[in-house]
Amino acid sequence: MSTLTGTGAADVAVRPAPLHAPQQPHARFRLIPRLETYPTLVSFCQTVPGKASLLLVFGVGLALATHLFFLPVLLSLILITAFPAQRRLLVTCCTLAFALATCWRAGSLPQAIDIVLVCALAGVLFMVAVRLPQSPIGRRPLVCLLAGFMSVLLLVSYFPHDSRMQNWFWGFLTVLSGYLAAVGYSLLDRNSKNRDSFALQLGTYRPFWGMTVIPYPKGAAYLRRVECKTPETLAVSQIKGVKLLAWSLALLLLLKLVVRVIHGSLGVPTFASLFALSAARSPFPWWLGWAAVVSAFLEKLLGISIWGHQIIATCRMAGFLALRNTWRPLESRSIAEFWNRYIYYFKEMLVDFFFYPTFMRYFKSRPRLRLFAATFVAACLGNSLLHFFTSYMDSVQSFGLLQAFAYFQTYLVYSAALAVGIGISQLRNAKRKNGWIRGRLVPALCVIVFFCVLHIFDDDMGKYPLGEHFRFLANLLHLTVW
Amino acid sequence: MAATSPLFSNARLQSIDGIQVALFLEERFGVDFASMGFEQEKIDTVDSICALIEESQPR
Repeated sequence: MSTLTGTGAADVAVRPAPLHAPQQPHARFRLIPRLETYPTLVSFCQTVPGKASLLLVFGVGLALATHLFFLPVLLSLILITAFPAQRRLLVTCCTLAFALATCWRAGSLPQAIDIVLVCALAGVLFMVAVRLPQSPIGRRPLVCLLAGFMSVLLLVSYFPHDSRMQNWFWGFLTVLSGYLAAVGYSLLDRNSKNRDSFALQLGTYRPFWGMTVIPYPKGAAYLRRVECKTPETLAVSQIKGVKLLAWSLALLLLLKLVVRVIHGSLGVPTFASLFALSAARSPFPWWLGWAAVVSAFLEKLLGISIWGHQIIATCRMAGFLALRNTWRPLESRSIAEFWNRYIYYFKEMLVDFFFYPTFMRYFKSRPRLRLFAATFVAACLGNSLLHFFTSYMDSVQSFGLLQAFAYFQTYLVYSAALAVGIGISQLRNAKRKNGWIRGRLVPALCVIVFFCVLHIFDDDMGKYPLGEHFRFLANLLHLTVW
Repeated sequence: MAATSPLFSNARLQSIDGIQVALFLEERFGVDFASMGFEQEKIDTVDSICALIEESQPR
């Protein structure tokens, strides 16, 4: 039996709480109480006035949070709440409507056509994977998908520059890159006993609650598992959705305060401006560099939390009790744990697409190498591939594939360092020390310092050469001669 | 916790714990995830784990 052990802490705090849990006298302070454990409230929220109240409160919160699109989202939620038996089908309809409405709003008919073509291609791949399980797509669908995308990308980069055909293909590939992960999850669902039809799979293709390249939350298989099956669980899910949205608004206020205090009152420059100074060979104090890096890290953490919470809150309002994307990341005691708590669904995607397939196939007789290799493939190779495909289409189109790869090298270094950090963290699986300082504060500080330093290389736009990032790091360590 | 209670989708277990479960099933019951493919859904409940073991046993 392998000596591998888990990182210890729970993923995220979304365990369905028992409705009649007694109040503990010394319970941890909560800014937002556990409303979903109040039986009277849960009963009320199963009634029509209760649902209407929840939707109204959520709508107000959404308007404050996003300012845009809150009305169509709210209308979708009203529809889905009114007809729970058709929830999945309505999610599909609303998702497709949103995708096409976005194109209409932007006046982009070609993009709408590309979305339809992407869905058609995904449907063909799904059908082949299901009906021909012994075919390459049936046996290794993700390999086929990513290798196919890369091959077409390579081919198109050699088409006559700026030709009509090349421009059309770039447009199509750019749209397809936004759906790659969603298509991947559909293909992974091919062997499930309760597999959804392709019509329902479409509801997971950049769903209306969060049209991002990372599927929130995961794919159809996950939605089936977290879908609310009873009026009571729906009420609990929607109350948690409202709470999560409220928490995201609280974090938004905190972010604004942090920015105002750090960059306004204290006059700490932003990381971007200080990096530009470094690239221009203008000296700055090393401690100012650290202040900028730490504040950039905290701001990014808050930003991802706010954005992820809003998406998952809307998903919960739609009747899917999904886990939060970010859960108390600053409490992490190891690099692996932080990565799990910070951006859960991106991590899960890398695990499902790269970690599990690698782990199950290779180095079976060498447990430590098996774990490290799978982690490296997921956190470095998979991470880099997906970022390249989703963020670098414009660069490839403008500068060619080779030059785009050259610009991407900083992110490659970032993802390699991240993978090594997570891999070593998992292999170490250090024992928890007693005491608040040794047991919690010191490990948490070590994790934060690691990710702050890593943040210096978190550049997936290739704005500066790799050397500039090392120069900035050297500045922080007081090693640079101006 | 019931035999149908989810293990992963409600955060009782993490992804890395899924590896331990998979390794145990591989070593004790000879389940071959390399050929059948591994998805968390297959081991998300005690019932599904039992079904997986039964499916993997030679007839």
